[in-house]
Amino acid sequence: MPGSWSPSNLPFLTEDNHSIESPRKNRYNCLSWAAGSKRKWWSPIKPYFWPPEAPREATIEAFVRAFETLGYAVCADGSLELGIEKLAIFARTDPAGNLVATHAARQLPNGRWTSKLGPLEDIEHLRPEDVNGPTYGAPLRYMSRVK
Amino acid sequence: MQMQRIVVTSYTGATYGSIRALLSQNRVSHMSITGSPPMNVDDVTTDAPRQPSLTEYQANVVNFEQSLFNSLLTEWHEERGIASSASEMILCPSYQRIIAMGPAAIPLILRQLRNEGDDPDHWFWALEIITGEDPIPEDAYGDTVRMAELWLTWGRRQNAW
Repeated sequence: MPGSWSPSNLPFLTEDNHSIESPRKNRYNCLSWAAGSKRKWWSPIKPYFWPPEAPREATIEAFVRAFETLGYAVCADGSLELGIEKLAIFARTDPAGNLVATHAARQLPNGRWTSKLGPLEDIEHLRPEDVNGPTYGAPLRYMSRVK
Repeated sequence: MQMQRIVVTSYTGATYGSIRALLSQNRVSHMSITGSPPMNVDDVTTDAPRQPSLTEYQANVVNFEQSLFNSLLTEWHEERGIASSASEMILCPSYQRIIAMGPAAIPLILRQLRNEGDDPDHWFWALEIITGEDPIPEDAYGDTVRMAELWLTWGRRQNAW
């Protein structure tokens, strides 16, 4: 079943490296999904949920701070480690040359990754880089916590 | 007075204002809107030499605004794509055009929000900008279902739709 996204947004997704795991939903986004929740849309701007301890800005530092409130800490990479949960934080450069945090993916116990694609479906993909592209950029930070 | 028939087949930023101006001058007896976005007024021809009734005039306005809103909604869904960032979604040109419709967009957005049921779309920013109101308490931030309920309650109190 093809997803409802434009292939130009996700040029590295192929039939072999992902599967669609949910219908499209406006109710939650990649950040809430990475945090393990489907109840709230996370975003640094009001009136959306954002952890009070994190600055309300779309920077990597703010995203890192947001996930630190859930017990995650920055780690070296996205390799699979027994008993450890990992996240990848994505960023891209905007037209003004600023680095903008855009997306988060969560590693599953089987080593694959799960991403909610904005208001669209959530998918499982083999590697974090499978969702690289003009919208999300690329994974620039990894975070981990003990399960 | 010469009546006109307007066929809107594509849309540019100036179109909305020019059509509203014609409608407000009561110069339009019939209007049909065709095509998908982008739309534009590209055909204005003389039509029935009959003054429209107030009901017809109001129906023309409502039909035009609903069609424009539907077109911009479709365009917005395409433009925002897979963006997870609420800022990126609301900065889409089509979403900004909905905001630019002003108070006329309020009943259209509220009806849309009601029709979306338990998966409401991200209309909150547009409603706040257009109305200047903010009925969402901090503990509801991000809970889109509750936020939609709060805006619908606000709309009912204001008789906005």
